[in-house]
Amino acid sequence: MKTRPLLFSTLRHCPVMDAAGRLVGHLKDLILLPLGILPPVTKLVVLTSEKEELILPWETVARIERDPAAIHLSSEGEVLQPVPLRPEEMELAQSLLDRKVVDTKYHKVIRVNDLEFQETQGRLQLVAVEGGLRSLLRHLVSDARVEQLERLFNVRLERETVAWEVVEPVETELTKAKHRAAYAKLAKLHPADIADIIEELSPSERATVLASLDDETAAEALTETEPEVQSSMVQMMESEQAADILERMEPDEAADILSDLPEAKAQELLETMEEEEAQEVVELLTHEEDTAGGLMTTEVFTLPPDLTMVDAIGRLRSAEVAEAETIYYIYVTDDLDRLLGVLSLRDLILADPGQRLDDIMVRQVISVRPETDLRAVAETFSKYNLMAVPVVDEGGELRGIITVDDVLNLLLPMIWKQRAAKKYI
Amino acid sequence: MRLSRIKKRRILRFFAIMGPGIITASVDQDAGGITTYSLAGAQFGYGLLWSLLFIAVALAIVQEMGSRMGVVTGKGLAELIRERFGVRMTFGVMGVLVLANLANTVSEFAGVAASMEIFGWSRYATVPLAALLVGWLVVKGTYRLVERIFLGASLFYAVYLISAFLVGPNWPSVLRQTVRPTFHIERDYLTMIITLVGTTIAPWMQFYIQASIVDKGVRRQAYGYVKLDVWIGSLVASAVAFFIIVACGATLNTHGVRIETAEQAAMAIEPFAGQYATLLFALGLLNASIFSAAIVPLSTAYAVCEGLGWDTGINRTFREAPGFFSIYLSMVGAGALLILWPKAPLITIMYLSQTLNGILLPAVLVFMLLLINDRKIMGAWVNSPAYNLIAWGTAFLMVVLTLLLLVTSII
Repeated sequence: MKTRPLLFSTLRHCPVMDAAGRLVGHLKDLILLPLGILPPVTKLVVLTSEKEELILPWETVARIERDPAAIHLSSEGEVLQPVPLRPEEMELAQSLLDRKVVDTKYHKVIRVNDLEFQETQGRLQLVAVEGGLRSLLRHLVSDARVEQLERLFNVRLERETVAWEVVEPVETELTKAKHRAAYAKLAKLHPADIADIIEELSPSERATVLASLDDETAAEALTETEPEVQSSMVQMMESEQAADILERMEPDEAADILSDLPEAKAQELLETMEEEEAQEVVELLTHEEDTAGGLMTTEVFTLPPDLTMVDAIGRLRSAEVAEAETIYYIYVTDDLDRLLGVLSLRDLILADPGQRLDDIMVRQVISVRPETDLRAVAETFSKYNLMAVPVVDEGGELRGIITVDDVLNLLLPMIWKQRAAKKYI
Repeated sequence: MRLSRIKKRRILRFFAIMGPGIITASVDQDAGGITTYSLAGAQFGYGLLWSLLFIAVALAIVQEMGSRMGVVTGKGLAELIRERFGVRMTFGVMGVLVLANLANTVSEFAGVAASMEIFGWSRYATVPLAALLVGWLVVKGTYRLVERIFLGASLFYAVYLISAFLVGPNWPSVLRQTVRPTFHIERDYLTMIITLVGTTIAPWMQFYIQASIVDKGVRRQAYGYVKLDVWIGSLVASAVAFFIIVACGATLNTHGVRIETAEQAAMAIEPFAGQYATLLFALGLLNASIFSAAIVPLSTAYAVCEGLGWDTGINRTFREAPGFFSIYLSMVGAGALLILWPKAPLITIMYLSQTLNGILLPAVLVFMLLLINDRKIMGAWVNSPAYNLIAWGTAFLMVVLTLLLLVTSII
């Protein structure tokens, strides 16, 4: 038979005896040094019969007894030396049990009902946290009674444990101090997964998580979250931090978020943002939401017509391209930003290296006006099978481009609605 | 520079001004509320108006405590109780909340039945229909819309204000009784005071207001607005109670009518509405009942799941959040079923459900007080001594009143 796991609910409040077998007190809490995959318990907090708290190093523990649970110390009560807590240590009952944690493997937020330990060579290590109904019932009735209930209703309540390796507490001393590296495990996930987790948290927790990530990851995660979550999160953050993140987002995404905020807050953020980025966002905000102008991004990669293919490819490799949303199409503009023609990356690579851009570029460019509505934009995409479409104003000036994914995000809900409607008719 | 997309949303700002304090106070005026205030006026005239002064202050202070905890911790009340007191205590408090709110849900369905019976519709048709409607409202996920319609329709209470003035009560006497407390140790009187407190400062409201604050995401810097919002909400709620009591006192009490049906309660707004009084009253009661029947079980399900760490959200499926939907649906189901009991006395049910709220209130208040005075949780935002005095005083008085009621009921 498999041995029963060693649980915090069993140990908590169990008697602590000294070497002579006399009662020192009852276990109040365990102290963890949260490092590594199997973090060690370093201290124990004993509540003595005089209601005093005694923090003892784990080294004083001789053995742990089960059934009934008891902790035996290796020295006598009189010589016990209390030790102080270190700031990096974690009081389990205080800051982990009953708290919310993130399961970074399955991207879920759960509440901790119990903790599971393992004993190896006299050390106690935290293995996993437990959620689920079974551990909840354990607090109300004994484990044996839970098993009786299982037999009575003929169900099996599985233990729902999450290995500590993938557990990230939502709130710790680190996060309260707004420490940058507070969510080390979470920060390693894909921004889209971080976004999923963020959506399950409360507004203030969301802001804390976002603030702890580096600006780049935060910007990507923010882009991936639901619109209503985005605006509430930005509102909860310090303006400085929110502005830093908004600067790193695509201007069209940033504009979407700002347009959902109260005017005063949006203005404040625009003023806090870097001049250049703010300018781009402001330009986008002047367009209506469901028009080409509202959809487009102003980060476009353009080249002059007299460039040779070799130079053009050289420019593509340069740093300025990093900002552009797509380099699938290369837009050729004159000094006044008027769109002269377009060529695809494929055209560029297959062409003779000595040719100039205006030799091979397509001059009849498919484009939309800033005021073109969403449906017409979408139709343009599907009719001409485009990956991106330029937005050109009446003066022929290139104002921005719309990429197919921007349109997809807006069209999908419409498509789903139509499908759902068909299903019920 | 014209930021057309930002400006366009200005119209929506109207709703944003209405904060959680005002919303909670309006939701508070449900079937149980109207009934209790009507009964208080009909039975005791202006004799209980003095208690409203105390109730208004206590309400504001208790609601302010909840909203302050929400702003400072960013967590709901159930969540704080769980993190501070563990699973067992949470279970206990959630038990109290479910019990009180089951009573409230029953009373909301009683309100539906009573209002529709005015039109001659049988409760065996209206109550199941209302339960289906409530289930549909929530499954469709239009909770915000529900809240807005509900709030718009709460303007109905203005008719009591107008009625109170039109009937021309003896204002000096009204004022005198408002500021001069009187007290009798007598069963009906004690029950009425407990019920008045219970319906105005209901346990579920404390979970509700804190949750709204947390969902809204209010930063500490903006706390001043929250406080203002809570005080306005509490004063408006107490003013509504005041005018219902005055209107009922001036009409029903002077004619010696004891309310046994909703039609009799409707007589209080006759000075304003004339022959349309019953119609208007029925619609007002129906509105309050249906929307509260949607909101009360929902807020219960949210609070319980939050405390026990279960998944919540009306956007999920039953399979994803079984605990949440089980609680919600069983509360609606049980609430509706109990009303179908043949000849269930609707007015009495609505009234006594609020008494139960009053009796259970101290249990929730004590937890709120322990949490809000915990410096580890609240830091410098703990209660001031004056707040503590009033809140502890309220909890203590409610226990004393309940004990007195117990004694007078036995003797």
